[in-house]
Amino acid sequence: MGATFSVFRREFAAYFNTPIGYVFMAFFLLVTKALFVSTIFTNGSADMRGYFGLMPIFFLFFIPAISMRLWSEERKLGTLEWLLTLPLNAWQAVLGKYLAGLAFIAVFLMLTLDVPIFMYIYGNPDIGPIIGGYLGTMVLGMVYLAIGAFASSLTSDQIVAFVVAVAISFIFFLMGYGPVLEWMKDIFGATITAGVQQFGIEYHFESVCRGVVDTRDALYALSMSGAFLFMNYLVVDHRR
Amino acid sequence: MSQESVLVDVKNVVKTYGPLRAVDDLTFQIKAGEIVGLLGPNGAGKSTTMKMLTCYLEPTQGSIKVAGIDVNENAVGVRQHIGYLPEHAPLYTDMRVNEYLDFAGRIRGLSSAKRKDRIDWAVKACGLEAKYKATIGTLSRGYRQRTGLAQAVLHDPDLLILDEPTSGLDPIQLIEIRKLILEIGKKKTVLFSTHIMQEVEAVCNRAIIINRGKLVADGAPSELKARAGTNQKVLARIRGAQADVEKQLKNLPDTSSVDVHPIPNGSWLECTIKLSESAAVNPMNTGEQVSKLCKDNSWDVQEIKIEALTLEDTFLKMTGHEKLK
Repeated sequence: MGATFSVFRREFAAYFNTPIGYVFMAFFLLVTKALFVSTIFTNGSADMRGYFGLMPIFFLFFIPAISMRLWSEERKLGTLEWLLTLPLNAWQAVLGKYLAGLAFIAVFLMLTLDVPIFMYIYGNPDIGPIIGGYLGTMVLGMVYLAIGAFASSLTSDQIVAFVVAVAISFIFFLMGYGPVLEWMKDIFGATITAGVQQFGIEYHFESVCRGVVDTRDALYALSMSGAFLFMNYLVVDHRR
Repeated sequence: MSQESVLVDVKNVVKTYGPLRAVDDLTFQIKAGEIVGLLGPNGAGKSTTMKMLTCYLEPTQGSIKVAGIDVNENAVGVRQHIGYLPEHAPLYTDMRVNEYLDFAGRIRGLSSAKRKDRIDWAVKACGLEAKYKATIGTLSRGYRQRTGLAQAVLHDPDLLILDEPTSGLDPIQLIEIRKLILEIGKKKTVLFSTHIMQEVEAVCNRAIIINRGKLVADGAPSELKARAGTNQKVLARIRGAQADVEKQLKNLPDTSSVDVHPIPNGSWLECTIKLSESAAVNPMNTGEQVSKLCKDNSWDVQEIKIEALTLEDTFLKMTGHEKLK
């Protein structure tokens, strides 16, 4: 769709128009790589499990940081009204902005490729888990970004958008987080806990990382992203 | 009114926000080629009306058709016919002017070659040559309005809707934007809102006055002024015997009241002649008669001034009254 692509193009370029995009990206690249490097030397094994293991937590903050400006800025500048009176459907704007965020995440991941390259130079890692890890991270990004975009659509204040995105993402993160699930098992029993776990991000992320191609994980990614994108659309179109 | 040339057809439109009736039973039509001024005090419902035309808001009741397309049925279709500049000209401050216009052109479905042509034209038409590569965030209010205007005319729409395009501009910028609207209005249909009456007189061939969501008047500015028939005045500064001057002025036809009093520190008399309320009264005649009186009586005259009826007076009068039709 022409309009979706135009919105995507503008939004993606906007990430690089101001220092914010570069700053966040540089910061997260640095922090994740530094932490990772410090662990491999202590572990002594050439695999990226440690690196990917950090992702759910890091993305919990990185994604809301890049999604917070998607709609908040439009509200603040007053351009949302202008955008929505162009000959396009609200969903095209929603999709365009979402795809721009995904593209930004993809760029980030591409810039982390020096890590596996580093691994190959000094060791002999398994390619399977590495591909699985990147796939899982992309899925993580998809879901967190949809949550973040939705949060951004609720307010003109980027900070509030960030906090709300982190809060909602955190809840879904906890639903798949080991220690929390253990605690839940004690109180609610195994069945309910297993049910909750299906909604947890961590659960599906680990599943994908293991390299098991499971339709449940694909379903999770698509339905979670889809649900939040739909809510994003409702909020934006609700202006009418 | 031939149906083909009706570009905007608003019928009994109501817009409510809970108990508040922002727009109350509004009906009007706009024909192709008109430059229409939407007049009203702040909060009258001007912006709300425009937002319904651009399909940003849905009417609670009533129907709106733009170029024959119903706003409830095909919002995207309606918007293709419209170029819209919202209040305060919101723009992406991180983009450059050329980038922004390119984006607007793309969304409007203009092909690469067409886009370049149209952007060149719009930039020239809106006087943006000097700021073509500038970042929008660095532009002054006047240039931002022009950029917003450029975006609105870019795709050559049938209908231009401008929400208070002159708000916040300095006197020079005001003149320039008005000139621009007049220029564009030569070929396009323009609807713009304002609460500055002089603007409407200067630029429009039709004025729609709304107050508190209701239509108050609809017609050419001159026609509205005539209909309102506000008290017009002739002022004069005359030197003569006070009692005599007063008597003779009171004898003039079509006067409703005459006030004569001396100005301190001199021998001049300040005379205020209020003309009777009637559309047929022409203050020019009275002015001539006063001039003749002064000549016949050998009174010295310092000033004879005709206070022209302004649309502002008309508006103020009309919004104190019921619908004038």
